[in-house]
Amino acid sequence: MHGNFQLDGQLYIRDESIDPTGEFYPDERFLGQGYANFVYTDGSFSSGLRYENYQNVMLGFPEGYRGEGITYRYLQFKQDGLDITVGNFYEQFGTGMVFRSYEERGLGYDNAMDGVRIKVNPVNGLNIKAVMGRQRFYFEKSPGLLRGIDAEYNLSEQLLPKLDSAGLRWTIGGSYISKYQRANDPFLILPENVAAGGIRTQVSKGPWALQIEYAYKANDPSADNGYIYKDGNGVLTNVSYSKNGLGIIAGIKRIDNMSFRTDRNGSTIDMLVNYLSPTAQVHTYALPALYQYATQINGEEGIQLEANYKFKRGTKIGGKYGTLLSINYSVVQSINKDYVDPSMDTLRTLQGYYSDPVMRGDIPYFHDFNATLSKKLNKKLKVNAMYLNLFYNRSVLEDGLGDESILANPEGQKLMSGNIIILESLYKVKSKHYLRTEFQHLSTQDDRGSMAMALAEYSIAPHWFFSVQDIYNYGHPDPSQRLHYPLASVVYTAGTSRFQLSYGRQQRGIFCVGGVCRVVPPSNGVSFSLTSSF
Amino acid sequence: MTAQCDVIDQPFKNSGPQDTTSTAQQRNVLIEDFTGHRCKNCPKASKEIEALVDAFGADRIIGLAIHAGPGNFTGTNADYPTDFTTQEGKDIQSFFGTNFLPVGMVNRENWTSSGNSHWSSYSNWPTLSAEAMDSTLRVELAVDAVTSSGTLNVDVTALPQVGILHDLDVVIMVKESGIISPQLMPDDTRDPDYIHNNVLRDFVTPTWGEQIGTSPMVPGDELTSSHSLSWNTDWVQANCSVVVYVFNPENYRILQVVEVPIN
Repeated sequence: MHGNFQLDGQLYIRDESIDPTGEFYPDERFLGQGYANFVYTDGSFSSGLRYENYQNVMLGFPEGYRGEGITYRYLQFKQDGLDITVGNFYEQFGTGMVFRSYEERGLGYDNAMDGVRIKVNPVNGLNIKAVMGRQRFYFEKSPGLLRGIDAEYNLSEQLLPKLDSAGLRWTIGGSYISKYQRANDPFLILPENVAAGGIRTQVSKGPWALQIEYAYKANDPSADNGYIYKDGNGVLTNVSYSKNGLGIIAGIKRIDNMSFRTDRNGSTIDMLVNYLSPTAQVHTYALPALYQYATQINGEEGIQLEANYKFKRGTKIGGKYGTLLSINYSVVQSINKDYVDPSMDTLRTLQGYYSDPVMRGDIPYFHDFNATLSKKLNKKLKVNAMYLNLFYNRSVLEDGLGDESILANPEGQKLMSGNIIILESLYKVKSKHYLRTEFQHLSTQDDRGSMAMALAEYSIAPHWFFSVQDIYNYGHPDPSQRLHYPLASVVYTAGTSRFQLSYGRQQRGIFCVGGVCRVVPPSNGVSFSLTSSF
Repeated sequence: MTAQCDVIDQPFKNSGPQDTTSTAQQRNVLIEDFTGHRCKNCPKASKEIEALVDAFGADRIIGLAIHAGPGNFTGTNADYPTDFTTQEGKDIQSFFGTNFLPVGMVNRENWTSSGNSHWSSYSNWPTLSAEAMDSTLRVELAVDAVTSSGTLNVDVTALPQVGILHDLDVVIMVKESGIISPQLMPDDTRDPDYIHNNVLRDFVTPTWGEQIGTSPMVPGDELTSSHSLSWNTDWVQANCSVVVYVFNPENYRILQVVEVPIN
């Protein structure tokens, strides 16, 4: 038997500087939420449940989380080569382009399936998964059903052993999923069954690896795509090379009308069937994290290049301990769209737009170029230095404006571009005592203007951790909003339990995990968090 | 791929003109549209109501624009000076629990204290409205609304059409259309001459209604209720109407709603 527990709460303090009208100040003053997981395993049998409570849901999380209850429970057994789960489960086909059921607790995202999953391994190298069920929708379930199957076969293991002996590994896979949602629209004949499928392959040899996945979705008019009947497709390709301290990853992605939900009227992060990974680096530093990229499920194309090189110790740049240089470039833009004239009623509804995959889209969504140098200077001091150049289309990524609206009024776009410099150091003061500092600076004329940040963390292993930080938004175009955002925290850890107490002000932000984002409103107050596992 | 996939070649239903020959009252639909003048997607929801009214008639589809919150969508400033909010609207929004716009309720179907099924996006209103209109009429309503000496007087008669085994509450309110005031539009522009329709002005009854019938009720019962309200002279009477609905106080489900002009 094992499990874990988390409880978070915040006492909100009215702060007129960040919220002049009080629109974000909760009526409850104090909001708290938590969960506990219990998993029991006995041989080939396992079971588990999760209890969740929201009294009430904390600011920034989806409002749908209201109340309390057991939101996840399952029974699983393995027998005769079968792995059977009934109840809730998480699963994914390939990279998730047609199906991924997963949870991101920090984001309030959970589209757990409730139904049946069967996994079988009929011959060596062949793995088959079949799923059927409905997705979680906060404390309820999606109106639509899902039925799907996925197969992955390792060719080099059985069929082509010569390849295996030559060091080449090759797998192929295919998946198919269909959703059913009843339709009773008085104006439109809606497809009640919508299918999607994907094929994929992965080849690796020595330092090289190649991964390609293509997905297709049949006509699926939805609130996301403006109720057009156009089919959707997507392609994701990654090539990587890794040898002798050099690592390179290059990725290309293009998706066209790939929003896929078990409720055609769904929005935001509700009831998504598939997962479209972002072609952008996920930042943990506070200032770049203010402008995180979120995948545009209606269509986008992008590339990402990432290179790391470790200069060996003893070389001129490597010095005594070696030096790591990382460079990352990602760029995302709209896909080419030639809209059907709205006067052509039927064609407009059936097709919506035509898209030529070899043509580039006209609307830039995002780019991020960054270079990081990590170096251990001596036995006690390690430093990271990062430069980042950022472009962020706020109309698309924050306001959710569609391509057609932007193309009709390109001057109305809200754009943000800036440069960020970050210097981080980790200093070992003495045995079990560490000091970590961060200095960050964002230079921009757009949105909230320039900001500077300083952070100091002192940890005394294994129990204590103290942190103070301040972000000063000195360049805000509105002088009354040139505010400090201080935050102080104390953490105490005992065994597998951790208690955190923080006090401070948080600015409005976008919180993203894996390309899915939510808006976090500004707040001020005292917050605590208790986590424990057993 | 086609085994579990419906491929549609012709998307539009040929429903033809609605049958208006029947004079018997049918179950109507109240769409409570939570909206705001600084909410750029909200005009899309208003348009959906207009489309439904065009298709089914103003007597069957009754829109109600509730400007409540959150403040970044409904608050006033120099560009959006009109305060459309009402305390009653805020109370309703707070009770049913949402803070994003646009969102609505169709006859307040499927309410549970911890669920969200009573909320729907405007894209789902045609389906939900069609289903509600197809369902059995349980209570017929007759309403008379007149102004006299600065007072609005409303007389309601409710006629159960089937046996009803729960109490029945009635709500009366005033709404106004044709109000010209700025609105943020879906393309992020400000329309200074936007016409706001179906704006909730005030409740004649308390927000959560007053009892009009007690369980059990049977066909042939005649339940009456009369209420009055001091007329606010800021409202243009010709553009105003009275909306009356009866609902089950156990689950807030609206059994019938009618809209009448003010004489």
